[in-house]
Amino acid sequence: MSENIFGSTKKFNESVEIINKLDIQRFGRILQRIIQKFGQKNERIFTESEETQLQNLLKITSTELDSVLECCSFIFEQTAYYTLSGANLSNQLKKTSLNEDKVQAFESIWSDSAQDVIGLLRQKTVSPLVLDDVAWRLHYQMSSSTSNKKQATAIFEFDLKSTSNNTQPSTQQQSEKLLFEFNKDQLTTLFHKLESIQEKLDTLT
Amino acid sequence: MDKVSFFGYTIPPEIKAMIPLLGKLESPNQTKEIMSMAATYIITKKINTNKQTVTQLKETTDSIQLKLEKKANNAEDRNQLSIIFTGCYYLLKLAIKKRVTTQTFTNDLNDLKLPQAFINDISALYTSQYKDFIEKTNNDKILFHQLVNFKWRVDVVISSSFTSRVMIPVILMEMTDNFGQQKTFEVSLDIFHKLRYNVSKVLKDMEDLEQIQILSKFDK
Repeated sequence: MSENIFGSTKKFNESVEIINKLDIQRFGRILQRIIQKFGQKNERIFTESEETQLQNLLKITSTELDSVLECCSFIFEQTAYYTLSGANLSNQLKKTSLNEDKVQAFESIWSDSAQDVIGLLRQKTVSPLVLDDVAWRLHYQMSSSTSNKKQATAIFEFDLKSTSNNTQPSTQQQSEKLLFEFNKDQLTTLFHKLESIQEKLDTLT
Repeated sequence: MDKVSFFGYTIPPEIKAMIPLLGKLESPNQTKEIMSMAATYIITKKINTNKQTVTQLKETTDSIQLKLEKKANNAEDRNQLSIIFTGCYYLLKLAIKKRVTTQTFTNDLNDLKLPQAFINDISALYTSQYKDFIEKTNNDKILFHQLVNFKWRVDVVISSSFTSRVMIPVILMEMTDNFGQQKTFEVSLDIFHKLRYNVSKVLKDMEDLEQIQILSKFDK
């Protein structure tokens, strides 16, 4: 990739200027936090009180802090999108006006956590319903109101997690449950279908 | 005391009420028809009702009621026919629940001192419809929803807005239950393996369960 993946917009360059002025040790810790919260779109990187503290510590305004945070997140987002290695990231950053010590901070943090972050991003889905968990119970029917026949049956519970509505995670923790009862024949049929999925998956690897 | 008959230690009141009436009925054809109505009712009646079976049951019940009313010449007669219908229904229901053989069925009815023609007719009915009765009771029990349709698709994700190279397979599944509820969802590889493992584990457990001697002894 020869061109600069970060572009050189006015806003980006201004933010880089602010970053350049920051204390390198504190900046390292800020980056650490950003990467931890990375990929969780609806979560704040710092709480409001933390932000005030940071402003005092770093002696910057709240708009300046915002642009620092946005700029760093943007750098990580682009890096993740192109799946850059630590060395490549550092090469890319050298094309910007970012100071050498800050470039190194980015590189070391990205090298440490790239694998986790990219793994997490790969798992990200846009499907509204995702199977989250499976639970089951096996039982033996001894008698019922219509017949005395004994039979083994199993109940499966499929926990479906909804991903579409996590803008309000606490108010509406959306998950749906699917319950199915299977006797042995039905379960065998399901098992064969899962086996054919597995066969397909095996051909892919 | 010798063995207990299939309807238990005491004769259920529904059957008891029928006994004196049976002798009074002139035509054996009439009782025969009532019996077969009771049999139809048993086969149609379902616990796990969805809309279709509800209407089916209602139609059957209505037609039975209509037939009973037609046969009866007066109110008292109608009442008697209803009692006989209920009695037949109970006799058959208890016999089916215990899965008694035709031999036991006939013997136990003989002990009740029912008219011979009635016993012959209802035993014949019991024998001829036995298979249907058993099949119906096997299918009819309180159940959670059942999986009636399962479709799947295996995709490989090439890229996403988060990363340009993803290259991992995901599975889409669509499950439909017997109440028509349909859900489409995505299953990641990890969860798919978990699902597959659990399904095969339960199957194995079921097989192990069938090997247990004591449980097979219960099933008699």
